[in-house]
Amino acid sequence: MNQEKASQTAKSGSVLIVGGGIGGMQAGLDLANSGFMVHMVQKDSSIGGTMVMLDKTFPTGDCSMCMISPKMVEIGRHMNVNIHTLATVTSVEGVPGDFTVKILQKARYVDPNLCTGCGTCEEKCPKKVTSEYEQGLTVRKAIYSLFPQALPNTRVIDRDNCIYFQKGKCRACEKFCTAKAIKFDDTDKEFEIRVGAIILSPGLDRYNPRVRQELGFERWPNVVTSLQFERILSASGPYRGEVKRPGDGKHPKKVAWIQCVGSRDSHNANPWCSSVCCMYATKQAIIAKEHDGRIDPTIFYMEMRAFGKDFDKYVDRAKKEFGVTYRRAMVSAVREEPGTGNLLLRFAQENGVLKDELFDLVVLSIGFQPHTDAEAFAKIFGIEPNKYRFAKTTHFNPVDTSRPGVYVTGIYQGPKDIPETVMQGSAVAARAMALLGEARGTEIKVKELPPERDVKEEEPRIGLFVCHCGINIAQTVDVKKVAEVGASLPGVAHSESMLYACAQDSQDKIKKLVKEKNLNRVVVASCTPRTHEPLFQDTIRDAGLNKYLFELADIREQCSWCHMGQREVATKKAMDIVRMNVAKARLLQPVETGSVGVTPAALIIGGGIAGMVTALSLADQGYHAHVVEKENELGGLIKNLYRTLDGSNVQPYLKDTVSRVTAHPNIIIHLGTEVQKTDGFVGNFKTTLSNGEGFDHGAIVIATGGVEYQPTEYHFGENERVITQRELEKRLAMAGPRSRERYVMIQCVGSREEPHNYCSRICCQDAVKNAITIKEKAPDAQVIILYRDIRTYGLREDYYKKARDLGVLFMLYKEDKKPVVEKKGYGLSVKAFDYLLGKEIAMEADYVVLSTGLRPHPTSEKVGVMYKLTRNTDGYFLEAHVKLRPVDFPSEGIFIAGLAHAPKNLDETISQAQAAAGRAGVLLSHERLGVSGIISKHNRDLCMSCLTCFRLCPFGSPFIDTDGKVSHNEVKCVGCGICASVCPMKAFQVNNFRDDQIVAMIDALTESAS
Amino acid sequence: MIVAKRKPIEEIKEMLKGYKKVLNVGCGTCVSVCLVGGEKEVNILNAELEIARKMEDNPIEMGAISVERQCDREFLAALDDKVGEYEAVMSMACGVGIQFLAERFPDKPVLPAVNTAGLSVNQGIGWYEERCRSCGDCVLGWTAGICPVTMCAKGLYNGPCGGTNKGSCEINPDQPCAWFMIYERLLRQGRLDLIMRVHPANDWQNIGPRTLVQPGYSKPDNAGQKK
Repeated sequence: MNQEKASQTAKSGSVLIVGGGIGGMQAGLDLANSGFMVHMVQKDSSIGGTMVMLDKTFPTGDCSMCMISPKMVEIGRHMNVNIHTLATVTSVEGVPGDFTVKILQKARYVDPNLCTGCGTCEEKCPKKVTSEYEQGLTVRKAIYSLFPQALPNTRVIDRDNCIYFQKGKCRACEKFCTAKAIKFDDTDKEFEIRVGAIILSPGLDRYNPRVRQELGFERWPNVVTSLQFERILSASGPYRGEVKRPGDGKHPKKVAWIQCVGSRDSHNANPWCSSVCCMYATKQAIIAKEHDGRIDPTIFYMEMRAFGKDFDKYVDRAKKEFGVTYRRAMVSAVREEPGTGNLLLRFAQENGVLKDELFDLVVLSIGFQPHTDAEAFAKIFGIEPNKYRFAKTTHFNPVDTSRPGVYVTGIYQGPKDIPETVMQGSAVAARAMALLGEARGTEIKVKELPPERDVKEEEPRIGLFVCHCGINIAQTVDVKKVAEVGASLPGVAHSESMLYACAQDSQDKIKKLVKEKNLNRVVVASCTPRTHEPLFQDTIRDAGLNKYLFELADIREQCSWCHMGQREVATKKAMDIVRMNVAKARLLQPVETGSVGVTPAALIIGGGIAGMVTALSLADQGYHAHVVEKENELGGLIKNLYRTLDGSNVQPYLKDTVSRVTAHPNIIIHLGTEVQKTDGFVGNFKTTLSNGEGFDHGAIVIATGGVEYQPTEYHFGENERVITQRELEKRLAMAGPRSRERYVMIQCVGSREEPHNYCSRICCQDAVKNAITIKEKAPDAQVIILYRDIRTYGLREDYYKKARDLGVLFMLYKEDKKPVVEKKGYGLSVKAFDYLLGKEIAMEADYVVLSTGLRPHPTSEKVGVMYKLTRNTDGYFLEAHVKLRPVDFPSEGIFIAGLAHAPKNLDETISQAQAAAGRAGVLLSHERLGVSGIISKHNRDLCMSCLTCFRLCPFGSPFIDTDGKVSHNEVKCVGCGICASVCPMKAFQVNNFRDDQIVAMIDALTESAS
Repeated sequence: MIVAKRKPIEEIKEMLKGYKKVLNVGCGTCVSVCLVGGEKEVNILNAELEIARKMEDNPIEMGAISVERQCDREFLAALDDKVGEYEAVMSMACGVGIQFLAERFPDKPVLPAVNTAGLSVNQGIGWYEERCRSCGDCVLGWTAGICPVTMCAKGLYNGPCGGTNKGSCEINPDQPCAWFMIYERLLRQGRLDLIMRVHPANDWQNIGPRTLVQPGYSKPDNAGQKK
């Protein structure tokens, strides 16, 4: 559709995303939801990437699959996302806005148009193959899906292992496929697409620990990789979540994690830090302990890199609540104890004495690396890799590759964890939106719908369709009988069973019957509403019924699958389930979904780098941006920053950014003023500033920033030779260090201890950066860094090594034995305990440099109260979800960027600001905003304004109205149902989950039981 | 507002031991707002009781009704033709409502399902703190808006006792000393001289059941008789 219009514009309104992991999915959804056509290329048979293999995620312990699968379902069903699996890009030609991309798609041997995903073929396939997804811990079949929730859910034949392809005989899958979807003559295809921008999110490869022979991987069966351990922990994994050793199936008690396997090692492995292993090991230790309380976990580590938001608190909890032992030691050998399968670990203790300790199971915390074909990959896209084969990016343009119009997100840009990948996913989406703004909406598909039939006054005429799901349901449940019994239920006007209710022919039949038999409610008894409800809702909408007149009865996941082999009870239960859903369906009412207009402008609170980058991106996307800065000039904290860790010059960048912001016609700057009041809701805010100015806007970005801690420790302020890193940086920018000068730096001043028990993330790099500058300018100067853990995560590790190579001395101190600074003559003396020597040593210093941490800006409290935004115990704003919604707030239309969220580096602030612009851009791209039908309805006649809902609603939708009583703003409501469950007067009822409907379901069940 | 706390289920079961059919009456005002005795809580308690008694093989039938206010006889009239079907009546209102119900149906046992817990502020969802004992002789004007009758464990009118301890009360270190708070706030308002004022003790011995008639109104002749 709209092809003619598209060809008229110079730029294409489509975007190519290479890699369907969580970063690519985020970018894809943001783009598709804001008027762009998305082509997603994935070389595996399913999207999902690495995150789908994980059991839980840190630091919240959320189930990984439960978080990612709704996103997979959303992207899989999106009309404007075209997923090409088993596909790779072979060439890219053209210019930004107009690329021609060649794609090679391998044969699947299963026709996705006919396949219903029932899985019978997989069950019948006789060939067993080692499962890649389960990390070799179990087997899969030669026709298979990568994992149960795979998307698309069409199986794929693994040609290299298929008996028919290899030996010419078998075809069992074909024989049993009632949908006739097996296609042995399928061939590879090559095709071309035109796109305006390209997003690279190919994800990661993992280090193969076989290289480190001393650790015994694949030699001793009870040595596993961390990813194998994820599968061991997973309830859907090979051991169903029971913690067992692969060698003998015994329950291990003493479990050891060995960190940095394949990371921070330039000899046998990768020199970089993989950024996430410290935290995932901590998480695995906690989860293992939760699964089996007898487990005694020990983590062997070099440095505990808990640098993210609330990570240090997580490690503290692991120690205190779960009894996890952390040992600062590198394990030099793992040997098996003959006969027991236990493992003897040899390591040097802190005092240098060697020790041997026996463990039952060893987990190797393996690191990340680019894919083996990364070099060829970079060549195909014409981008420059860095020296480690990651995509080369710069500090100031963290998601731009060397080729304009080609952007990068996730681990291909450098090691990082899930939220940062998601953040960059939105950031690359924003970059593409800014590039292709004028082509927005030119290549998308829009669906035409028939008018809705008014059924309000009609008696219920329910159509009931009971699905066989191939044999998935039918072999356990007597579906014919369920359909027969269903026909006799009150209100049911038509009932039948179907081989596959979700297949195209069945959908057409349902539509036909709705019209022929004048049905006004539809119940399908089949699989889970999670994946299939939206599909059937669309079907009845196509037939002219309101989509909320649909009800799904889950008789597969909730019945046939869990009662396999118990035909009689399963059939009875299926009938009960159907009876309940029919009872509810009788009470279904059409739900009208309203919409509200959107003001295409954003308010950005804070004119630091986060605010300015957000404003520029939104302005480039074509929206107005109001930047409100309470100081009299833009710039914020980076006014005091001169160099980044990689040596980039900050001040010219700041100057350039300020001038671009000042000159941009879409940006309105409000200096020396603050927000006084904001009224309204998502899409329709109205703000008044303290200087009296006012404006309308549709989105809010909180970029209030942070401040540097002003120390009181170590005689700061009393002695002019005690300075902060920031002051040192300024001095080094103005005049170099003198020959033979002696610097002692002290880390974690005002960080990582009560009352500020969090890592400020930037200080290790500040110290390393300044130390390198000193040693480069004056090689005979002496620099000693007293540290607790050096946290130069990711590719930043290079600079830690460089500093060591330049002769910077690093010396460990612990919280209970802090260094002592004393005045000595003209200079200073620093005393600290040396753990290798086992005694205190004294160092003389010309300067003591304090690495001071960050604090949230004092205004964040006021801003938090004004917009009802919660903050963590350290005062940083809490995002909607720490993993998957890193720049959103629970309240719709409000986003966050920069230090207001948590301490972070400049490049991270820039990508988060772009991400906030991406998320806000998605919102502002809509002329009108649809209000969901599943919302809570408020009955003011019943309400007694007890305020329970008002206080509990996380979205701020109940409010105190002008008459002093509670009213409800439905635009803000997400239908979570909290208000309905707490309301003492039952004044709230959630559409489609009304009390009468739920009671009807319970009654239907209890009536059948009695 | 008046707040109350539900009685332990064992105590309620003990009271209902001899009955097979009981009407549970909720109140739609204070106890609804403090989440203890409205329509919803009546249904919850009834379900609990019915399940418990069924498990003991001694079923009970619980009726449910809620009225706007149990302290107004006009609202109680709704119960008149219902109560007869039941052996006993239970009330989830405050002590006022329970007694008024008992007065209206003198032939029926009327049983309390809640303990009335005072006149309180709502500090958060489900969190109430007492502020007034309805002594009938308010001194808040002299005590910086802090009630010594309620907030002082001894209800002292003229300064703290010897148990005041660095701002805390001797009964519990988390309980601030009322007179310490009064001192601090008077000092802050520059009204510290008020603390020297001697308040005679309240005439507690003369506090019987109080009757109040607002100015301009009078008790009708047949007051208290009407149903």
